[in-house]
Amino acid sequence: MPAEPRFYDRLTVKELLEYSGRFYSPKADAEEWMRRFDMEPKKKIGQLSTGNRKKVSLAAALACRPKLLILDEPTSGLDPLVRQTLFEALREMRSGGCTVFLSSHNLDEVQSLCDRVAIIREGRIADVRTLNDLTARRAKKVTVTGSHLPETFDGQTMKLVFRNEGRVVFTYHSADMAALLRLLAAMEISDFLVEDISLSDIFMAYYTGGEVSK
Amino acid sequence: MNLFSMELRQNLKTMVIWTAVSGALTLLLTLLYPAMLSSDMLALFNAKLVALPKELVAMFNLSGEDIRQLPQFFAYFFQFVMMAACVYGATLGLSVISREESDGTIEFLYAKPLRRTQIVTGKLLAAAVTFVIYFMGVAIGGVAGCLAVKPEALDMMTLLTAVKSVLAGGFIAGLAYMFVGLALSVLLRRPKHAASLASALFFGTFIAGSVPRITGVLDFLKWLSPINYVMPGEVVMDGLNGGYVLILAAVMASAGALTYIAYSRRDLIG
Repeated sequence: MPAEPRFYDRLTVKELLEYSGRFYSPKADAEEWMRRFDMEPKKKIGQLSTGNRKKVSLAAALACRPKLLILDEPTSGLDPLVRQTLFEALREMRSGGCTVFLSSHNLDEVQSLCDRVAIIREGRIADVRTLNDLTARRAKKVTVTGSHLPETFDGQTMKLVFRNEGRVVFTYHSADMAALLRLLAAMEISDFLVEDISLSDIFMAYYTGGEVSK
Repeated sequence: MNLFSMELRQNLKTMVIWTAVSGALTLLLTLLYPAMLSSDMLALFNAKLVALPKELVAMFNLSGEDIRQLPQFFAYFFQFVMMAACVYGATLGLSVISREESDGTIEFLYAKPLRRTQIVTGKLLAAAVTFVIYFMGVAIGGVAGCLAVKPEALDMMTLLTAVKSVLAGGFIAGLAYMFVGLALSVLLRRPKHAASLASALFFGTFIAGSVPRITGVLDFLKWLSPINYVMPGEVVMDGLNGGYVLILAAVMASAGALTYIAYSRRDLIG
């Protein structure tokens, strides 16, 4: 499914999905998907918004009971309700044995849907990992506000991300949380935040050359 | 079959317009025959011909001779209908694949369980059927007109044989342009504006093919235009030339084979 699907503008939604379905044996029936995606069967394709065209494209792709689905930015232009329906559908397809390739810039949806992640940089696959692997290796991102904040970072366990007067952001790369707590207790801090590094941070590290997750 | 019927549907609107216009034009022009028989009209026609530059007369194969005979009259004006048929044939051939590519709908088709050869076959058959229907409209217009104005003295079989040959020649020429257009649409990357390209293809070959008639030199150029193989003025006198028809059949077969070979390597980013 392309990111910007283009169809025969003079056909109605129903006609297009029937045309699409007739290429398969047995015929792929898109009635269920039209209902689930709340589509207007009699509307001409040429009159549809980008989001509605995407729904047609998804219905055409899902109705043919594929063993392999390749989706390019499937959620762009979709409203949150349809997005949720799509996620449910993709989980159903996956549990039914369908392999889904999903290309997305929305890393939250990647995180909630995918088992394995390939990070593409400059047209090449920079890394392929399971999401569990990425999660297990995740470091913590620590934001500290206060005075007498640490001046030096070893670059191994602690890596400086950002510093300004009274505020430091660093990443902590160790499973020893007690050590992190002792470190924080030694500082004079007015506030702090410890959070998991998001997939987005990991992704950015591949682009900035950093190694946040390792 | 699915692709074929969708293609027919896509062609339907323009086919109806072309068929109605060409069929009606053929009928109306044939119905002018009784008027041409009057000496005043013939004198006017010949006077206009004399006034035209002789190069133009040669290029459009104009001549006042024998125009009083219905088969010759039909052959005379049919060359212009044939030009329209050839332009339509070329447009069909050029647009059948390029339309999907310029509209972006080819991505949809490539995602279907279809081989490239199946895509070409579905589209080629649909274009051929469209052209057959179109030409049937032209033929019906021509035959109906001829029957309506047939002089009593003219033998029915003689008339129908002559008209049939002229029509068959026009059909073959149009079909040849369709196949050449189809091959060009696959060989040229993403051709846009199929209609202008079709006109360029037709008029380019037509003008090149007319050069020998105008200048009397470069005789080989006449083979560039399929129309010269089935010129109505010659076909009405001598019937279709089997050798020429075979050459056009070979051109169509080669263009068809080239289309299949070139398109089987076609890719979205190719």
